[in-house]
Amino acid sequence: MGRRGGQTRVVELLLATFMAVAVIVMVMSFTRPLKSVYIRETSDLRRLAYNLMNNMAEAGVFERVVVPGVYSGSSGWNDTLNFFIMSSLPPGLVYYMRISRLDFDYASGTVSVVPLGHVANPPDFFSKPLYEAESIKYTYVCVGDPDSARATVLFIELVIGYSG
Amino acid sequence: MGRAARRPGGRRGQILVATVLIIGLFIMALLVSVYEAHVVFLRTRSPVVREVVASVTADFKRALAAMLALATRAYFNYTQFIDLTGRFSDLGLDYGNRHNFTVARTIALNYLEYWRQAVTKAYGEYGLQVAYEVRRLDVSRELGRPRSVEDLMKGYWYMNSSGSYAYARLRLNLTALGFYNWESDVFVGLTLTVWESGSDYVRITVRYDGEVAQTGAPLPEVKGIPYERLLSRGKVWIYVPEVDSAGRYIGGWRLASVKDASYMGVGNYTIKFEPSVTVITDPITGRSYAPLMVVVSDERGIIVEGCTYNYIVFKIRRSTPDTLYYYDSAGTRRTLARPGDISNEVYTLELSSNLSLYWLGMKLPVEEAEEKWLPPIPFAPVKQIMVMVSSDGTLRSLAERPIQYENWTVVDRHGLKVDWPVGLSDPQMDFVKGEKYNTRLVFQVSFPTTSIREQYVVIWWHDDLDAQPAAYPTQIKYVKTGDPECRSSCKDVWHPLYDVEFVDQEHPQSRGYVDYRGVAALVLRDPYTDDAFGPYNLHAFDTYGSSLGRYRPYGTWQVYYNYMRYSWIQAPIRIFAVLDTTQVGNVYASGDVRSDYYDTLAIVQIVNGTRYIPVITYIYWKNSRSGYGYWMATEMGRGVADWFLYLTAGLQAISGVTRRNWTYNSPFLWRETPSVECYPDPGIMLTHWSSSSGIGRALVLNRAGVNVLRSIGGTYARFCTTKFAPGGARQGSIEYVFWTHDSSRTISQGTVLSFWAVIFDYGSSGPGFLSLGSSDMWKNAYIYAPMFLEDYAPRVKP
Repeated sequence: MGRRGGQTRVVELLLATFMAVAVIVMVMSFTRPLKSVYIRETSDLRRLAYNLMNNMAEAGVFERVVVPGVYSGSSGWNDTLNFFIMSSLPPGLVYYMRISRLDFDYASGTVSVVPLGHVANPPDFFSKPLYEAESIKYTYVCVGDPDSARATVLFIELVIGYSG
Repeated sequence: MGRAARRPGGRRGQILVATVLIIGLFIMALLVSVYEAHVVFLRTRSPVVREVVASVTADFKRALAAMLALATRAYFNYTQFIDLTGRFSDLGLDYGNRHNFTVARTIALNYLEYWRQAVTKAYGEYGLQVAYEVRRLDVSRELGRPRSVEDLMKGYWYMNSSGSYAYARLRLNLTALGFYNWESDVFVGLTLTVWESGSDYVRITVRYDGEVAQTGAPLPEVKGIPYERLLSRGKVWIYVPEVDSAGRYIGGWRLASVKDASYMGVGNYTIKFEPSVTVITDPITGRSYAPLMVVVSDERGIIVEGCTYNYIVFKIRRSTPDTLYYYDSAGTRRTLARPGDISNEVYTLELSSNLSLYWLGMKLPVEEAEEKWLPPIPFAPVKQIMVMVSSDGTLRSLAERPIQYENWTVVDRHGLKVDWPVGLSDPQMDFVKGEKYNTRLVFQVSFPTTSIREQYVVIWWHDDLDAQPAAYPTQIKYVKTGDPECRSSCKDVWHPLYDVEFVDQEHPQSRGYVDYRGVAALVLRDPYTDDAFGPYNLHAFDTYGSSLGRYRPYGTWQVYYNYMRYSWIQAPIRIFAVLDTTQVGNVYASGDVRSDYYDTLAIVQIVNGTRYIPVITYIYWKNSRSGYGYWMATEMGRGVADWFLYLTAGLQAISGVTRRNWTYNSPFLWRETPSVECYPDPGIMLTHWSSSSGIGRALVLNRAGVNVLRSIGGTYARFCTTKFAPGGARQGSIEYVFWTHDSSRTISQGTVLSFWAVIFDYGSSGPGFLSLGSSDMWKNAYIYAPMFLEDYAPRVKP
């Protein structure tokens, strides 16, 4: 009789435990986190990089700075672009941006990458130690003047990080 | 059950319970940890998804905008934007295809495919999969009329409310981030609305892009948002009509200088320009407007071309008399009332891009008033220009009519300025007034009854840049050797009433008839039996032995019958053949070709839906020549006709009497003698007919031709009929003759002749004709003869 009673309690406890777990799982499924967790992870750097690129795109920076530089040979476009990027980034961040042009060869059906140039801060970006960095790739179809660059597709690779 | 009664086995049960509880807590902790990790993962990855999606969508929108800019810039002015358009010439968007939206669309689709490949690689680390779907979008709210965007992009231009649009639905997945089935409507557009125009200003509204909304209608629709950067980042061009020294519009456009531009908010602008233009009044609505073209571009390069008016309207007034007079052979003045049904009075008119209207090469008089000047036709491809003509003289009966586009130029031959066709237009080219060439719109205006004096004509234009030239049904057809319809050798234009076989160097042997040895003429044939009625000879001089008309124009007819780019579209209104030669030849002897007699320019028109064949002829004598007989124009008969008649010119006295339109000594029946029967003072009409078969043909000579007959031939000018052909076959021709073959006279070097003759086919009865007996059949030609004369040319009433 006593042995049978212990087994019953064990079964009851197991059932209670499973019920508690099931309730918690259900509550977890229907509730949002109780607190916000700030995580300064690489995703923030990516978001920052994409925001920077989208802002530059909306402001027409590529047509106004990059295109005149690489198409018309205007000097100093690197400095202008560097100034624009650094003024848009929070302090303490370093970056490297490489700009290429994507050429569509309709006859062969291929897309080729033609490097146009790069900007970085610091200039010796890759010689500096980075303890946290993220890179993104971005495409930009030129839509503004001049006509010589309109419909040109730029391919931009941007690395942003915290320097040691 | 007391404490003392507790058994040793009970402690083991407590341990078991504690173990189970600990395991349960451990599992719960594990679940919480997994949940937290799940939440953190979502929080950290979601911004990247958002940004990548935004980046790709924005780039797709830019790609669409760039392609729309390419298409619209090429359409508006290919050369002005050659830095962009020229880069796509290898792909087919060359200068000749600048008004081909289909080519631009194909390039855009190719470009988007390569863009898709590029972004797929660029965002490959996220597992980007991107596609787009071309869908329809309703832009009626933008334009104020039912219109939609389809096939990726559309342009609706040249109207008060115009727009350029591109639309597609973007779909993408980011497989590496677990993000699927994102869809986004991507629309780019620019809309221009011209509200008001004055002599030196125009008020416009410009909108762009806008949110695509599903409203429950079959198609999603869009309403643009005000474009506020026109003055800072966009561009605006104003075009004003070119004017002559009297300030009258002459068909061209010139770029105006923008003197001031102000932004009134909500996308509204007022643009002031110079020079000022004359404000004119729409005769239908009474609305006043300045004829302007307004072109705007946004900073993305998308262009829209608008116009302050959507059509041009004027009236054509016939001037033909409904009661005619003539003198019968006895010299008695008679009247002849036309029947109420005059359905054969169909004018084939040409509206030149210099805003002049022509009939038989004659510029029509315009009843002008400054406020009613015809404005220029917009700077648009000819394929978009259409015409409506009323049928009963009221606006209610306006309906679209066939139209034909032709290119004309002016050639200078020995000081004589000649309007000269150079072929059918390329429908994709601009309808422009050029320095050397002008486009002419050819259309027909009919007056079915005598009660109708005026007909409305409305020139309008399709707003759709994809508009194709209309292929109108026609009953005329060019048949050449090798075509399935040709039984042997052909250079024919088929018409329901007759086949016209053009004989020349290329096609010297008329089928079953005579070898013309390179002489250029046209042979009228029965359309059912193919029997030849005999040729119409443009000109002839001197005799060859006993044969008449030795030297006739020698060369090759150039026949224009279709549009080069649209070769499957036959000329719907008229097929014309032109002859430009400096040589003369001899139908009686091969090799007797000379270049020292006269030059010939001739234009022959085979006109759909009519009974007439105009033959416009220019002759220049390079040297003085003497010869037996000089023929202005002759039409053979091959013995078909049994009656003959001519009307006098009233330029020389016959039996001491001068009368115009006197049926002197005619009509008369065919008779074998004399072999050549001639009568003096030939006037506007000669005719021969067959009373048995009820068919007749008349030659109607314009007043200038009648005067030339008199000035060159003097009292020797004659109407003649030659009874037999050289082989002895019955002929029965009708001929305008400067002097006959029985006397030698001289034509002076430098003599210029410019005239037209119209071959008119008529019957003894039927629609548009009186019912007449055998000797009176000629009257059915006479009731229509005035329409081919200068004095009775129709008038234009803007």
